[in-house]
Amino acid sequence: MSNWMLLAAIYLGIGLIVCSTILIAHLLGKRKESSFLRDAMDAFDPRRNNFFYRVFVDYLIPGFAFFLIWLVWPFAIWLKLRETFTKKSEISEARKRSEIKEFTLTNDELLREVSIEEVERTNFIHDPLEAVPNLPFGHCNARWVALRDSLEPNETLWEFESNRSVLAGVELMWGYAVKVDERVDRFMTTGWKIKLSKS
Amino acid sequence: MTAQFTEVLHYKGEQLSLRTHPLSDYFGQMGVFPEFQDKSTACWRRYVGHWEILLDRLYFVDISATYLDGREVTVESLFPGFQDRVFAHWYSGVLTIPQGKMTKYVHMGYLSSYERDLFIAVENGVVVDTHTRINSIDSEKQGGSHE
Repeated sequence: MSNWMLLAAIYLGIGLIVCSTILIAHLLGKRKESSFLRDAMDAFDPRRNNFFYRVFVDYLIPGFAFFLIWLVWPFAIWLKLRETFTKKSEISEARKRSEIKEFTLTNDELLREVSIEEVERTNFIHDPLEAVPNLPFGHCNARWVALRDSLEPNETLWEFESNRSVLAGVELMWGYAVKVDERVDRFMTTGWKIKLSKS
Repeated sequence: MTAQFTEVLHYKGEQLSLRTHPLSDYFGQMGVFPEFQDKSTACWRRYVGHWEILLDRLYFVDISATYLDGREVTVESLFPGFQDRVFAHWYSGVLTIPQGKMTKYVHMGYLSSYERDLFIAVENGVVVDTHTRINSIDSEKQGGSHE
């Protein structure tokens, strides 16, 4: 056997191991797929019940993918490593983007200065089925606590109301804002009035 | 982008598909983003929440998702002390619920069309208004009917 044939055999041999590993991982993943997930997918995509579609999706595409990975397995490994290492940074980037608060309140939208005690006394949420904790702002208590605990001695707490929400269908929103140096530094929205479009 | 799974809503004795994600609003407001395992390309958000409207209030009652370490996500793991239901008082918005037969399948997001769309306006977890829109077969021409 010439050298290049030996190298090709080694290359394809490793490729076969890589493909088998991917195939086993794929099949194990399929086994973990819940019946809820399967039923939901079937209900959602009517084509999944078609015999030819199933053959195409379940056998032809995986078969072709298996063959392709066998031939270019180093590329497949590189893609997997790349996905593993970039996933976390993508998630943190997405979080950073979602945390950007572009909306700013104006002083005109501040109604009156309030005390922490008043806010906590007037914002208990009542539920007949008792599905909410007996804390100010209920399930969102941690958000309030973070705002409350962030208050500095030179900052004041204000009630606000604004009709400038950029969220679709929101007519009015209200909540609490922290004012410092005659400007609103941060705020917490606690209520929204919704208008249903009936067109 | 693949067509996406809806949430599940129990309303007036029926199990409906809900195209709105009130739990994502909660995660966004709280700045908490639990990491769940991938489910499918048809579920980019990685969870399917189950909701119920009872006494004109929106409740979160179940979730289908798995943490990265393999543990099953439960209502109580997200809302300690609450096993069965959570009043979704953080949510204000319009719940969108497709109804009737699917008239057009679109393999992307929530773009498939149905005979009707039910809209439920919710303010701080409390239902304040509902509206049913009758969709004509020709998606360009949509008629309206108020409930």
